Amino acid sequence: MSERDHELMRRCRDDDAAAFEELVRRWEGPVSRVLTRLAGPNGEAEDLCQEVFLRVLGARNRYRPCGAFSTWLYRIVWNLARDSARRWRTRDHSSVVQSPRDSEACPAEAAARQELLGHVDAALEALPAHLRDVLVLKHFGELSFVEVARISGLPTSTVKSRVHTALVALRKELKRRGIDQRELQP
Amino acid sequence: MNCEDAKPQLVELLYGEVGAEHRARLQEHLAGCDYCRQELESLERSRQFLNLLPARETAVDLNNLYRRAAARTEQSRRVWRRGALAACAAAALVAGVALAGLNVELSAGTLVLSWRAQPATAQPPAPAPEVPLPTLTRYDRRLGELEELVQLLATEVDAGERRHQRTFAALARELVSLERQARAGLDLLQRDVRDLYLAQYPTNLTEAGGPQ
Repeated sequence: MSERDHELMRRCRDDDAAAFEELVRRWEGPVSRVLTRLAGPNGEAEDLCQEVFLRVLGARNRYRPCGAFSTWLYRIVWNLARDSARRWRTRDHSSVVQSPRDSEACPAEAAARQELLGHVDAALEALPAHLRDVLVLKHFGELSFVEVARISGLPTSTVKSRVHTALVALRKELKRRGIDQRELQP
Repeated sequence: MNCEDAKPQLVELLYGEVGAEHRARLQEHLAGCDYCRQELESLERSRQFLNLLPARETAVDLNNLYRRAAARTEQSRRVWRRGALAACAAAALVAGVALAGLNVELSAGTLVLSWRAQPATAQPPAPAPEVPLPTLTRYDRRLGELEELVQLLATEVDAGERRHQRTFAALARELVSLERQARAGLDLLQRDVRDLYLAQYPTNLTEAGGPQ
């Protein structure tokens, strides 16, 4: 997969629009999944997602295939998201989970699930930024510890330690909110 | 393996990144250590809670992206052109100072250009020499040439900017037209698909709302 990404970037350097659009289609999902958790509300994430690919387009002539394409791409995501998150979190600290459009019509189970998701989202948001960002990159980006280390510029051991600490802190926060493992039952 | 060795590897085991060799030793430790086993289970529960969260994905609007890329390129070129013009004007001014003996002063927010005074000599004071008319004319001519050069450069840059603006405006119109055509095509296609479906599966709804 990463070799094909390199090939697509090589074609982008030759101004091949189809190659660029293939890259966008392939990566817009994974990139937006991470951005929406790193950067804040969905409105910012859409703009940031577009900004990521604008930068990919602008940097196509400088791109060199040393390392995985995903590492290079997520480094752009990481830098943009952190700048955006700094701006967003100074304005609004409320939970980002959106309530269902027609809450009155939802059955009781769906409402309870939505409430649970709200707690999980809020617990994730409540984590310190240096723990949350690494956890989001690892879990939602589905990247290896080594890749997360390269993207974030941290040692691999630090990444593992922060992910471990973040998961423990998440568990404690959920417990504080009265959420326990029985909620995980289908 | 003791707990101190095992603990850093628990999160690797959780995400399936422990090598086969280490995994066997870690599993052996976990089989006999309640504390590490409970720690791993706690980490797994946190991970399962994270897995509950819906994947929020957005799609990139390629038309808008290309428009923004074109605007950004144009802005960058404008900055370069202005920088080039400023550099040329500065170079012309430096040339004027070096070649034509022009004196440049900034006084009370005003740029003052004047001819450089002749250096004082050790000779006894004599009446102020009059600069012969042919020399003044030569300097005037040089200054005029420099001014013309700067004017020419500014005109060229403006003409280039206008050409690029027309080109980008035409591209933008073309993009809008293409988008409109694509949407019209999609509407037609959707209508055809709906008609085909209704032709295949005609429904005659009863009062109860179900098909006959």
